[in-house]
Amino acid sequence: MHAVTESAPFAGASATAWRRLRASRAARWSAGILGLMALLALAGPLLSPWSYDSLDWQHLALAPGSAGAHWLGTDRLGRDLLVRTLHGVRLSLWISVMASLVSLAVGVAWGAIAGFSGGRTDGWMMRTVDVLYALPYLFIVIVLGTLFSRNSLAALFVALGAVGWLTTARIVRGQAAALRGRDFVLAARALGLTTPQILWRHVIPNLLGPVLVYMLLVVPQMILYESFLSFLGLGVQEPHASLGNLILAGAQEMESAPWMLLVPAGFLVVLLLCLNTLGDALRDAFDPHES
Amino acid sequence: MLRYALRRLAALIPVLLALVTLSFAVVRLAPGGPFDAVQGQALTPQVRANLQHFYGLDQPLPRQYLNYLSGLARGDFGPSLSQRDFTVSELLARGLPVSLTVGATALLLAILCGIPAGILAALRRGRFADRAVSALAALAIALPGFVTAPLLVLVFALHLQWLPAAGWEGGSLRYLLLPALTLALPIAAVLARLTRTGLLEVLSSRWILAARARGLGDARVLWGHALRPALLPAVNYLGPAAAFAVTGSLVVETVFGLPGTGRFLVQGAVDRDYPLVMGMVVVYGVVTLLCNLAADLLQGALDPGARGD
Amino acid sequence: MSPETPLPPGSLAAGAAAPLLQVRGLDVRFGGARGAQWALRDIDLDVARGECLAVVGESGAGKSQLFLAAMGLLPANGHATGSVRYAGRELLGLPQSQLDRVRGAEIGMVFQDPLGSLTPHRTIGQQMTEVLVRHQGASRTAAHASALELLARVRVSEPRRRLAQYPGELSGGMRQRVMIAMAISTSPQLLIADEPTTALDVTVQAQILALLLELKRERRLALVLITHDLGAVAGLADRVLVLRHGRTVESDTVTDLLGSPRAAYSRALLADARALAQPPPATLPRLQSADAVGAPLPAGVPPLLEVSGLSVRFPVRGQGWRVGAPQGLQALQAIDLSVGAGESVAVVGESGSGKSTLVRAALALVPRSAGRIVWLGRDVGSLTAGELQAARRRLPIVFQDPFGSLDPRMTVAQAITEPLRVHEPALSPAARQGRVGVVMEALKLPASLAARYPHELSGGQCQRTAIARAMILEPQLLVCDEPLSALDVSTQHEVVELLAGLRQHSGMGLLFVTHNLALARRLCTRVLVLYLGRMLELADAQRLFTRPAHPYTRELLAAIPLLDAVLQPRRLAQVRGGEVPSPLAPPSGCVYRTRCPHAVERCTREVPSWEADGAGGLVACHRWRELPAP
Ligand code: SF4
Repeated sequence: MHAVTESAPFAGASATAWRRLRASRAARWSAGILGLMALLALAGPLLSPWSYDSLDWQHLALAPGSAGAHWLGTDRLGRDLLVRTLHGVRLSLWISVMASLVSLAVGVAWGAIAGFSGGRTDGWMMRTVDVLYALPYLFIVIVLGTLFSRNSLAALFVALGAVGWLTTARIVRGQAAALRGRDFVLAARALGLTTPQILWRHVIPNLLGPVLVYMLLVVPQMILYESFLSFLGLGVQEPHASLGNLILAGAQEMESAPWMLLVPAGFLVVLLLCLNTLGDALRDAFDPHES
Repeated sequence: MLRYALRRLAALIPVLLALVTLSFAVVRLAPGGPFDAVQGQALTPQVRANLQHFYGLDQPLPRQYLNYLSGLARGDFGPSLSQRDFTVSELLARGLPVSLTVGATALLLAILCGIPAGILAALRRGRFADRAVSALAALAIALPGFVTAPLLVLVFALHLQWLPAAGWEGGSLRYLLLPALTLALPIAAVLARLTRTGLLEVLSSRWILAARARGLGDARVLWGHALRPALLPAVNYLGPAAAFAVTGSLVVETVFGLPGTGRFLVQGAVDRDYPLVMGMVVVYGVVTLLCNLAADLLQGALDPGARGD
Repeated sequence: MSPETPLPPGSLAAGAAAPLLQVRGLDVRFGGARGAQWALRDIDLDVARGECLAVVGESGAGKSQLFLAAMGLLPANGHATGSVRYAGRELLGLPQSQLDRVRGAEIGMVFQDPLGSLTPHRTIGQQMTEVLVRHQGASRTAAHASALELLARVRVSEPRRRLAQYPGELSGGMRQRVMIAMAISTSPQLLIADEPTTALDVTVQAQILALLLELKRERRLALVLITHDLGAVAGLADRVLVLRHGRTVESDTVTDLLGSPRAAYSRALLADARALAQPPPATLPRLQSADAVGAPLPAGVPPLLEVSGLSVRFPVRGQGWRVGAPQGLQALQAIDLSVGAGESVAVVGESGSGKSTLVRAALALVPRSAGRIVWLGRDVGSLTAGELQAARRRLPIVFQDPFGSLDPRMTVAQAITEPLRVHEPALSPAARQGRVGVVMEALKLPASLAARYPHELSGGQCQRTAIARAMILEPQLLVCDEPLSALDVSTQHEVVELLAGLRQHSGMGLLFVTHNLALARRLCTRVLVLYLGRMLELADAQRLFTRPAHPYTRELLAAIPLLDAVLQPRRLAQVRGGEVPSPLAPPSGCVYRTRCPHAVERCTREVPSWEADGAGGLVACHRWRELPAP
């Protein structure tokens, strides 16, 4: 009995949630498309004879479908658009997942401490978040993005994470504060558990679910910020491709070569749409209010 | 109510102060400086020292901070270091009306589309209208402004040639429409979603059942009893939405070539134009805080019952 | 008491008077034709003017759905078939516009949970006048005047001020009165009251039922009372319909149902209700003799729990941030209480009495502002954090909310083992499992539940798991904070029997918090009565229930319904009004004086002292000696 039940802290409530999630058609489709895109992003560049920065002087600004080798066409320099876009998807996913982790690590720690300690500590920690909230997020990203060295991905993670952790901290703080007032936490205290024991055995397991769900909603945000920065020319730099700088390049050429805009834009929108849909479905599935 | 509003307004001052201090620190502690290069040319140490002295940048940082604060208190944002013929105030005075006009139009557009769409979706739950609104909202949320903007230009300006692709021309409606639409789309989508869930939740509450049991009729129940609390989440979002609409102008200004303030932020940051960046932060911070405060007060007015508990 | 002319039982079915409401063959289902869930099957009922029909059943019996269906208020996926005739007119299938002229105008409805049933953002006045304007075409001023009159009629204090207030600003009892006023404002002939007293305090429950009884007699209302409380049935009903799982189990007159129920299920319901209201069976050994109550315990045996001068103040923040001086809410004022070995003590009081705060503070779960706490002879103030945690195993607590007190991510077995893992970490898994098995069996939890999660359990099973978790450490004192109030009557009965059995078996002490005096009587040998955080009476249960000394105790006792269809309406007719004052501004002198029928001038000036009653108990009242025997 122990072996089974104690190794599965997420069973139970989560089992029902998974069932609900699998029942959602939108969620299944989104997960499928995301899986396919991730696979393509990882393996796709290997399958193509071109790399993201190899130039094909015979085919400059080629429209999709007009030459067998370049399925989705090429850009001004004759670089294969599909390969570049997949490269961009990979870079965007990578940066945004890393940035989400940064923002989660900071946000969860901050929120959990504030929420569980309550009182003055809580007050001051959350006021700090309020002040930072008043800073336009763009400002933080741009200032951090420009002020630190241009081509470093680490700076990008920090810049994006610095924006993302605020909302995470608020959400986690709310959860932790609610947990603190729950009877089962009080009951654990009445049974003689110490604060670390309560945190470890009762608070963190109950916090993890919502946080993981939320993480799925942070990733698309981060993709958005990252591609926006790159669109402004502040993020990923040429010759590296990110969805943002591909769209920037495409927007500049849209009159003559609209596919250069449409291809990366299409990938970005589908990516965001699927991530959002999956995140929403996951949140709904875990939400105890829904029946 | 007025006294409450004034008190809340006064409470913003320390927040603003913290904001200024924080951004001052971030901006100044970053490596590099405004006079590393001018027009791509490296300056001689002598010239640079002169420039720094002229702008007071050779003083100790705390001193500069106090100088900046005292200037701010007098409404003086200081000179621009990159566009040396202008003060920051002059730059802002020219750009801000454009950004605010675009932002306000977008917000209005979003409210006018999003909220009715959300109400419609909730009332027709599970039917075609609901599905259509939900699908459109999901799409609009996944469409970032820097994608929407070029797409709108592509369709309406280049293909259909209904509207101009870029320009401002004193803010005439033809030039305003596409930028405002770009900004409005995601806001309208979020508003529609929030309104829909809010209304569905309220409609399933006991007091709505009780109101129907009193034979008040559907219209009366919707307008008199359900709508006000159902709009609370949407109203709550108006604060962040307004901030988004004003600050989001950066994208549309880039794509549509509007003479707004957005570009100052990037330019200022790249050029290490400290006063310009600080000026932008202060102005945007104030706008954000005021928008949030306004949404808060509106929410209080919509929900007087909440004060009782 | 006004004379009443109840219709002879059975005459309606015979057609002597046309019933006002007639339901025939009503079926209610949810969901589509495939996989539909039947909420009600083949229901027949009649209600005539001046008559009260009670619809009784436990949660999930479908009793609320019955009248929602009749009124066309089912949710979108609900379907009703059959016939519902009101004054000869078929209601099922009536278009909405016509239904809206019946609902609220001819049929009034009062719901459970009056906070949730009043629109929060509109004032009482706006909501009341809206109904009058809509159904009677009254002008605003006329409607306003009638609203004022109605509020006075249902005895809402300061009616003029209430009209401008929002529902959130009124007390629960007052909100229910407002609901009733609104429901009768259009002089309907039929009033449907759906659990109108649930979640209200006992004294307020009695007041609301008394008001309904009065209105029924005064206006010859046809009244439908939907309830799970047979006490309410006894006071109000003429006839009773018992539902179970959506089907009619029994339809009878109230005297027959309470006297000689025919269906086995009704008999069981009645037996549970009666058992809970009875004093404990004589077989249960009294571990503490009555004369030792309140007296110091024999030397050498320290009490399990002793508090003296215990006070708790909660900070109350004014509106906004740092505005005004912090106010304090005195939740408890100088409480002295001790629980001896093997003793069982009840703490009773209404909401706001501080009873839960008392036990939480006594277990050092909420901070106290003054007072001394002694556990098993050791002063809690002198214990180190580690010692405190180790000592807690002897005094576990069980909370009210059966679902909330279990970690949703722990199975039953995990929850029950947890205290063992903490306090006896050296125990081998096999031994641990053995102990869990024993405790689960003692609480009649089948082994098959061991791997279940709380959301897969019923309320009773959750509560038994929580008790098992407390019992596994073989405590010396079990503290229960309203452990039964969220459960159905039959489940309550079951858990009470279990608790009584456990106590008898293990000889542990029990500190039992409840608003239900009948439960206190069933389980406890000594009772402490709290009101606004002050002690009013502490006495042996026997003495307290037979010869209550304090006027408040008397009021509480009078509010316990008797399951007697003749006596209970008479008792209801004598119920007095009165609201609990705000704990932020407690009355001067005796805190009970605003409701006390015996209050004199002295009571406003002097706080009554804690006087021995000569029988081992204590009373805080200036006049308890002079009061007439109850
Ligand atoms: S002291 Fe006075 S007011 Fe208080 S209970 Fe006794 S008689 Fe009533």
